[in-house]
Parts: sequence; C-alpha cells; structure tokens
Amino acid sequence: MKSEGKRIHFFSIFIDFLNTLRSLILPLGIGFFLGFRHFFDDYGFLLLIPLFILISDFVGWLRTRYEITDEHFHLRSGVFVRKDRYIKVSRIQTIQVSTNILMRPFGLVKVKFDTADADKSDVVLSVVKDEEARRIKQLLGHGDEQLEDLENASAPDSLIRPAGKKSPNRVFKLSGKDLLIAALTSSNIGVIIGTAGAFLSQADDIIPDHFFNSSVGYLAHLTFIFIILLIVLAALILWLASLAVTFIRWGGFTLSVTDETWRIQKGLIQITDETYKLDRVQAIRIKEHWLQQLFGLCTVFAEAIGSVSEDKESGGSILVFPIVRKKALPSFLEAAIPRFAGTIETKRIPMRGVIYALLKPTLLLSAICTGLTWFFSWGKFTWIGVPVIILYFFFSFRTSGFSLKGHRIVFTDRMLAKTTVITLKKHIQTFTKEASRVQRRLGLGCSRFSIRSSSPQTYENNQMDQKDAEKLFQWFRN
Amino acid sequence: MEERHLDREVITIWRQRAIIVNVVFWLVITAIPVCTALFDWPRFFYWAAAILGGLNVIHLILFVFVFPSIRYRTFFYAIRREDLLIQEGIFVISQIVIPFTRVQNVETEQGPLLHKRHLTSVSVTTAADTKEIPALAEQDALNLRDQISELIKENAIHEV
Repeated sequence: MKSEGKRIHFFSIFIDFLNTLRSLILPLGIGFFLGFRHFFDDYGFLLLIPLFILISDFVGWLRTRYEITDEHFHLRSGVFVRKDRYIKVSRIQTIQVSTNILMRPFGLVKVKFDTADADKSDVVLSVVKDEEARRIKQLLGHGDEQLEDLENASAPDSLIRPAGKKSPNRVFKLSGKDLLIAALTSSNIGVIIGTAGAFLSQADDIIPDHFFNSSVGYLAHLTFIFIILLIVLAALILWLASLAVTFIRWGGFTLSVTDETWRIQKGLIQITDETYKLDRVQAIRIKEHWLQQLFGLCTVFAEAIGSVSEDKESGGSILVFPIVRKKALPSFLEAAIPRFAGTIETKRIPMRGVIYALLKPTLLLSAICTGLTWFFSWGKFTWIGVPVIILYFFFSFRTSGFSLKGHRIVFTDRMLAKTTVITLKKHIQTFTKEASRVQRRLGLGCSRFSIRSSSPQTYENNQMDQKDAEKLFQWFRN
Repeated sequence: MEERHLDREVITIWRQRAIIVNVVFWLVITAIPVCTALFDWPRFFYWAAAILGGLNVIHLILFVFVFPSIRYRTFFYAIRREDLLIQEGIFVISQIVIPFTRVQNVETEQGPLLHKRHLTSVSVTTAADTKEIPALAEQDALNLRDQISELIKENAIHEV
C-alpha cells in the first residue's frame, strides 16, 4: 500500500480500547454482579471480547491516515468500508486540543475539530504527539506561534499564511479567588445530587440484602436529630464534591483574545485548549444564578456555529468566562468581542403583561391545591406555598425585557437563572411576532427570534407591549 | 405587499387528516374495553376508555369542524423583495419573517391526499428552523419554489 499521510499515534489503540471497555463495563457491570457466581462457567467466553476490541482497534489504527494539503484536510479511515473525508481548511471553525491524566505523561493530546456542517460529526484524531498537534493547528491557521520549523514539513511553500500570527490582544485569567467564588456559586451541586441519587438507586442492587436490612434496622434506632445531622453532613459532602468538580473543570481557565480568535484553555486533570473563530459567534449569552446575582457576578457564554464543547451544563455553547463581575462586563465584552459590546440594560415588560403571565401558573397551582385539599386531609396546607411560588414567578416575569439599539438586540428573561442574550440583526435567522386574542385586547404580544448554533436556539420575550413587538418586527424586516 | 392565501381545498385535506387520526384513536380506545373484558383487567379501564372516548369526540369536533376553517382564514403568506412573511395560528396568531438571505433550501412535498387534489406543500428551511406553507395548487407551488430559489440566488448567501 502506498503510504500517504500520517498515522495517528500508536497509543491511540489503547486509549480507544480503554474507552470502549469503559462504555461496555458500566452498563454490563451491574449485570455481572448479579450473576457473578456462575460467571466463569457460563460466560467465560465473554473474556474474549476485550481481545476482539483490541484487535479491531489495532486494525482501525492501521487503516487511519490523515494528511494536510494546501487546501484540504484529508482523513482516511474505516476497516471494511473505506471513508475518505476531505475538509476545506478554510471551513474548519474550531479546534480543540485536549489531554487527560493518562495521556499527559507521554506528551500526547487529542485533536478535535468541527466544521459548520451540523450533520457531520466532528473530526477526531484521538491521540497525537503534542508537537504534531501544534503543527496541525498551525497548518489549519489556528496556531498562535510563529511558523519556524515548518519548512521541512510536507508541503512547505504554501503553508505560510500571510496573516501573521500575533500575540493575543488581551488575556483573561481566572484568578484563584474568582475560581473559589465560581465554585461556591456554581450550580454543579444539582448535577452531583442527581449522580448521587442515581448511584443510590443502583446501590440497592449491588449491596447484599442482609447488609441492607441490618443497616436499615440500625438506622431505625437512631434518633430523629441524628438523622437530620446525617442529611446535613451528606449535603456538606455533596457541596464539597461540587467544589472539587468546579476546581478541576475550571482550574487554570484562560481566555486569550486576538482579533480573529478566542483561545480558551481550562481544566486541571482533563486539560482542553480550544480555538474559536470570532466571526462564527452568533450570540452572547449572559447567565446569572440567584446566588451570583446576589454578589453581582455573571457567567458569559457564546453561541457559535460549530462548537466542539462537550460541556453539558452549557448545552453545546461555548463557556467564554465562568465569572465576570457585572460592573466589569461592558469592558469585558468590549475587549473580548467588540461587536456585541454595549449596554445590557433592558426595558421591562409592562405590569399588565406580568399580571397576565401570572394568570396561568396561578390557575394551575390553584387547581392542584384544590385537588389535594379534596382528596387528602393535609391538602389544605399546600395553599401556604401558593403565594410564595406566585411571588417567585412575579419576580421572574418582572425580569423580562428587551433593548434595541442599531443592529443590536438584547433579550432578558428568567426561569431559574437570569439569562441575557445579545445578538445582531445579521445573525438572526427568523423572527416571529405572536399574539393571542386576549393578548391583543390587553395590548400585549410576544417576540421570538432564532439563531444558528451547534443546535438551533430560540429566544423569546413574552407579554411585551404590542407596540414594542411591532417595532422589533419592523426593525427586523427593514 | 400582496397577501396570498392557501388553496381552499386545504380545509378538506385538514379535515381528512384529522379524521384519519381520529379513526386510529377510536381503534385504540375500543381495544381497551375489549381487552378488559377478555383478560379480566381491572374495571378501572372501562372508565379510562370512556374518558378517552369523550376526549376523542372533542378532538373530532375541534379538528374537523372548528379549526380548519379558522386556520384557513388566518393563514396567509406574502413575498416581499427581501423576505417571506407567513401568518398562521388558531387562537395565537403568529407572524414569522424569513429573510431570503437566510434560506438554505426550498422543498416541495406531496402526499397522497394532496396529490389527489393536485396540491403541493412548500417548506422553507433556514439554519435554525423550517416553515411550511401547507397547500398550494401544483403550479403555484412550483412557481413559488422557483421564485424563492431565484431570490435566494439574487440575495447571494454570504457565508457566515
């Protein structure tokens, strides 16, 4: 076979192998636990599975090659069905270089990049040498160092891009203090409680019955107060765990801004280094939890075409910076992405809109409480909660608003966290104006716009003044 | 700006579709008491079936007799120089603007019901969502498709 292009690093066989094993063992593991006694008699052959995986990973590695020519990134892969992917270098939006605790000691990294095409999966080179990753970044025009040792690379002349790589204009580093604040106010705790809950429900299966019985019996002897203490302790441990998670995920967070790109580095154990093109950013989203709002802080996200971010919490959008002081936000935006910068003060929706919006939850809650009162003796006490929840909704709806200036539009609303979206007319895909009969009579209307992101996003502002809704609609049409 | 409406026949098609869905629901709903009788399921299921049946009657009335004509009356679309405007809705009336510069593709589609009446639906896709004009006379639909794709070309998509 004619040898074209490069192979990815040999080590990738083992990484792929471990990943496959891990994804197999988690669901199967519990099953194994249950039938463990007869495992080797009946299912001994299952031990061959890892061997097959290893062999297939090895062959897969043998058959995977990539090369970078003047205009294209060319990836060939597939064991039986050969796949050839040509990707135009200019079409590559994002490059992510990441490494983890297994790969770091060997100076190995994973390279992943994304194109604007949402249907195709990202391109992943699962393991390459650090220098090689730097070379790839360089060739794809995302590098940040001078092209020096590239003269002896495969296709030398055309590689040097006229747009010389500058050093970043501004570098934002997450300081230790801010990291601590971020950890304290982060919403990771919800995630951890969820995981713990899932684990506990699994624990039922894993822990032998007699142990469970005895421990429950033991618990029953404890006093009520002691149990409460246990719960508090558990909550504390969860909170500490969430602290640790935030530290590991956001430790060393650095945002370097150049004229055309953002480079975001983060993580203590799993280190990622992502480069985004700024002209792909479609909107800026600013999020404030109640706790953050109390201290005047916010988190900045960006919606962009073709992001590779796996951050579940941010739902595919780019985490630009975890903690920004509200006061410093305008200057932060000015430095990070000038075209979205400006005031985020909004005009609130009218009072009649808030009251109309409250109607729905009030009716629903009343119906539920009526039902509970009817069927249960304790049902009447649930009415105490109603005003509290209504008050919460009142303040939530009171937050909604919009602002319009030139080509820039800002929408604010809140469900759990206050979210402010900033976008420009040219990034909006479609614009909708909506009103029901009642709303029309009250002079209210909704506005909604959708933008393109890694998954399409829609933002709306309900119960705004009808005149404003009409104004926004006409603004978009002209 | 010229407001263009759907073909009147669309009311019949909406009715036919609603009736098909309704009939499927009836099949499922009648299966419940039959099974209850045959397999000794709890009597509770008779009540459930009765409630579902009631809901289904309401569905029939609304979607066959009430909604189609309202939907027909509220729906219109208008093509302006640079954008497409669609108004639709039953209780909540919404107007959506799709600039031609954002349109990625235009698609026409014709199922058996539409085919019988020589109608076609046209849908317009942007990077964020898809909007459909449910039924136009075949020739109108093709014209609209060509018109939109011509306008897309004129407003040449700048790659963002």
